[in-house]
This record gives sequence, C-alpha cells and structure tokens, in this order.
Amino acid sequence: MEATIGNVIAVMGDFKNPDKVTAAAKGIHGAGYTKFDIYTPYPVHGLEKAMGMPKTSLPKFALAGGLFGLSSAFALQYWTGGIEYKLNIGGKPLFAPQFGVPVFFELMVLCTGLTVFFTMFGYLNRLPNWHSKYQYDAGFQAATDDNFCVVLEAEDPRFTVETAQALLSKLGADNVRVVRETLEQD
Amino acid sequence: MNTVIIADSSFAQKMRTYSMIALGVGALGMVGAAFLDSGRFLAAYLLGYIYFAGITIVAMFFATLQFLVNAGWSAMVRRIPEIFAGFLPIVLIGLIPMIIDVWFSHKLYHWADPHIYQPGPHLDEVLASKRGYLNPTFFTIRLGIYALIWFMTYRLIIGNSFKQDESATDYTPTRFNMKRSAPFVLLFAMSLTFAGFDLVMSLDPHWFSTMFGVYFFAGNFVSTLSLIAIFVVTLRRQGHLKGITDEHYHDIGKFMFAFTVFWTYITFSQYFLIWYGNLPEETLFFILRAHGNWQFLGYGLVFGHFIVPFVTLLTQNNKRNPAVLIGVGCWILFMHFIDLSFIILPNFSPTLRIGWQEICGWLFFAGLFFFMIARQLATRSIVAVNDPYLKESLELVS
Repeated sequence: MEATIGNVIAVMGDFKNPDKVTAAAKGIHGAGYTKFDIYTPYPVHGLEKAMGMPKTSLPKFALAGGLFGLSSAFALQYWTGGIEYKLNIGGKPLFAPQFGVPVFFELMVLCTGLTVFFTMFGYLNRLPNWHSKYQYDAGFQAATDDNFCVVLEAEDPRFTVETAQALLSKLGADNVRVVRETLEQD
Repeated sequence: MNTVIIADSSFAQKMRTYSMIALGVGALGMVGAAFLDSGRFLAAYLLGYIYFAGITIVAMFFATLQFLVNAGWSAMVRRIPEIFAGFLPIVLIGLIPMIIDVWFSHKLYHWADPHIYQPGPHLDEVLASKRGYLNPTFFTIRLGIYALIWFMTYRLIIGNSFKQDESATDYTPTRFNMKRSAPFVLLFAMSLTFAGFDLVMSLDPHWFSTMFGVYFFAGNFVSTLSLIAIFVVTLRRQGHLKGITDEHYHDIGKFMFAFTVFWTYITFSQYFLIWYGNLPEETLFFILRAHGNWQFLGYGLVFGHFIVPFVTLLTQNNKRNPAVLIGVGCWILFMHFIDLSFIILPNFSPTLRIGWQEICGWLFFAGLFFFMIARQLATRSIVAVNDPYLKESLELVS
C-alpha cells in the first residue's frame, strides 16, 4: 500500500514500549542525527534527554516578560499617582513602594504568563499550524493511542533512505517504512 | 535492603566534636549573660530556643506531610527531618524557663506581672481586658497541650516510621501513618500557630497580628528545608546517601524556592495591612522596628531573606547544583537568625543590640541540637529502608 509518488519526507519505525523507544532515541542521537522526532501517546520521562534536545529557551522569554511587567507596573503607578493625577488618599504618600507591591506582583505575573503562553504556542510550537506532514501515516496516527513512533526526517543532512532504514531496523523498530509527501488526501 | 547507620563515619564524629564545642562555649556565655543581665539572658535563651524548636517541630510536620500525601519522591530524604525530630526532648524541657518566667520573674512576659492589673498608676487596661487569655495558669496549660501534641506526633508518626525499618513484610506502621497523619498535620498547624502567639507575639502583649502564626511557620519551614538540603548534600557527598541524585536536589531546591516566596508573601502581607490600616494598636510593632537602627535588619531581610535566595534559586541549573544548595541553605539559616532577632529582640532594647549574649544563646542550642542529632545517628538508619515508596524515590525523575 506504500505510495511510490512524491518525494521521500521521512523514514518511520514503530516501538511498543517507552523504554525501548528511549534506548532507540539514544542510538539515533548517538548516530549523529539532529532532525528526528518521536511521537508518543503520553509524555515519556527522560526522552528529551535521550534525544539530546537542547534546553528550551522559554525561561528567557518568561524573565523578559516578567521584567517588562514589573517595570511597567512601577511606571504606571509612579506616573499616575505621583505625576499626572496627584490625589491625597488618607494622608498616604502619592507614591510608595508599600502599596505598589500588589500591582508590581500582579502585572509581573500577568505579563510573564501571557509571554509564556504566546511564546510557547505561537513561536516555539509554531501555531497556528494545525497539521503535520506525517499525519496520513497510520503508525503516526496510532501514536495518539498505543504506538511510539520514531520519525527520521529527510531534512537531516545525514539522511539517506538506506542508512535510515538500516539504523531503525538495527535499533529494533517494527514496521520500518518510507513515508512520501502526500499531496491530496480525501 | 540493610539499614544505613553511620555512627562511625567522620560525619557523625565531627558533628559530635563540634557540637560539644558549641555547647560548651554557648553554655559558658549563657552563664555569663545570666549573671550580667537576667532579662537579656532570657531573651537570648528564647531566641536560641525558638530557632531550633521551630526547626524540630517543622521537621516533624514535614515528615508527617510526606505520609499524608503518599509522597514518592521524598522517601530517600524523609529520614533526615525524622532525625531532626530527635531534638524534641530538649524542646519540651526547654519550655520550663518560660513557665518559670510567667510565674515568678516576668522579665520576658511582662503581661504576667500581677502589678499591672491592680488599680493605680500601673494599671494597664488593655492587658486587663486580655487577662482571660494571657494569664500564667492558662499559659502553662497551653504549653502543656502543645508539648503533648508534639510528643504524640513524635511517638506515633515518627516512631512508626522508625519501626518500619524492622520489617520488610509487615507494613502496619506505614499504613497507620498514611491513614492517621491528617489529624496530626491539623494539630501541628494549630499548635505552631498558638505557640507562636504565646511564646513570641505575647512578648509585646499590646500588639496583635492574626497573620503572626503563619509568618512564624513560614520562616521556620524555609529554614528547616535549608537544613535538610545541607544534610542531604553533605551526606551524599560523603557517600552515605548513594540513592540521592540531582533530581532530589532539584525537588528540595524547588521547595526552598517556593517557601522563600511564601515567606516573603506572608511577611509582606502582614506589613502591608498594618501599614495601610495605620491603626495605633497594630503599628506599634513596626514603629519600633522601622525607626532607629533596627530598620537596617528590616531592609536586610528584604534583600537577604527574599531577593538573594530568590534570584539564586531561580534557575534550574542552580537548584540542581549541590554547592549552590549548601550556600543558599547556610545563607537562609543565617537570615532566619536575623529574622527571629528582628521579631524578638526589639522588645528588650529600643536600639539594635545583637551581641555575644544572643550569639551564645544560639550556639548553646545549636550545640544541643547537633549533639542530639549525633546521638540519633548512632542508632538510627539514615535511609527509611523498608519504605514502600523507596524504589519510586530512587528512580525519581522530575
């Protein structure tokens, strides 16, 4: 049933258990592949380390968002209370860090949360991209159920169909298959 | 698995030696302080006592909490706070000077002085209205109740945890702890809150803060976690806790980080409400501490107890770094001393006064504390070897 038209986009293999797929991830990373991915039914602890994935850059965005929120909260309260609209409330100072803290905190958390949300989904996870080019593969679809699917992408500089197939077979993958670009699907 | 007893290790021997030295120096200083100025001596005693009693009681709470929530990660770590609980006998005996003070000397707790309730120039109407709660009899009864609660927790929960070491097949002790730890956590919350009110807040009996109990808890909790972190890292480095990995460091680091923020949140909330409300019966606490040179301790706490640990523990790499954990742990323990000094000592001196008396009070109790822990290490296993969650803890990935 394998399609023979279209460019090769990946070589895939299936595993049936998280320990084996973690071992395979180490093997693929050890063989020098960088463009590969593993799709699992649930988060597998330690898999990202076995794959040699770099640490996420999300904390840097979070810090930047938090500092922005903190400084804008300071500026907002200082400018409104102390400069633009001076109002004596109960003899309290026009601006004092004591009463500013709740707003510092809230705006910092809000800006951090929104930055993390939009950075993670919009930038790091590439939304609004609602599809994957592998989504017509039956094994890939089964990764939402009980399959641990390894995908060696054709974009990898080391990729050739033969070596990729040989590597996955050597690592003990079932159903090693070549996946081609699907132009139309009903 | 076999029990891990490190009685002969250099760790336990060094602790025994140094604790004896600290105890000797502290006791000598305390005797000197008692002859020079008995009021200051009692304040220094109270400071040292609260510091280590807080750590002991919170350590028992921490162990109980692990049973309550069936925590898997902490099975490797839980024995450390359980060993801290071995200081409990001294905690109970150490309450006696406070009881003597309310009955006889009234140097610490001046609400106990009967003269201020007699009609005349010394009459204190505010305290007269609080006399139903703040009187020597009820104070003694309350301390007795706290002592009973802490003793029961030690005997039942901590005792059962040690009892589990004896059998790898019969899980009755652990099962009891998992089922019955909830009321002990509740009793702990009540007893620590009210002990904070009675022993510390009533030093200034005109002042009151409903947040004081949780403020007291937060400071004690973060310093207990720091001491646990220091012990775990040191024992791991000396090869005694082989199952401890970076994952455990990370979890302890996260705990320390979270409760640094919690301490800040509670401390600030208390200050903020009093500052905003601006009521004379509440502000007197901060007027004493925000004017004169006590204020430098206050600013020091903002930076030292919050910003320094917060920034240091913010990144994942630092939480997983044992050297950083030890450094931050010692720093938090130092800041906890400053924190308790800031709460207790201004009641006895309007200007900044931390001298050898206070340091000797701390050293005296530090010596006793580590001496008692060294005694525990002689017989107790530092790993809860038959804990049903031990395997899960060994395989921890966070």
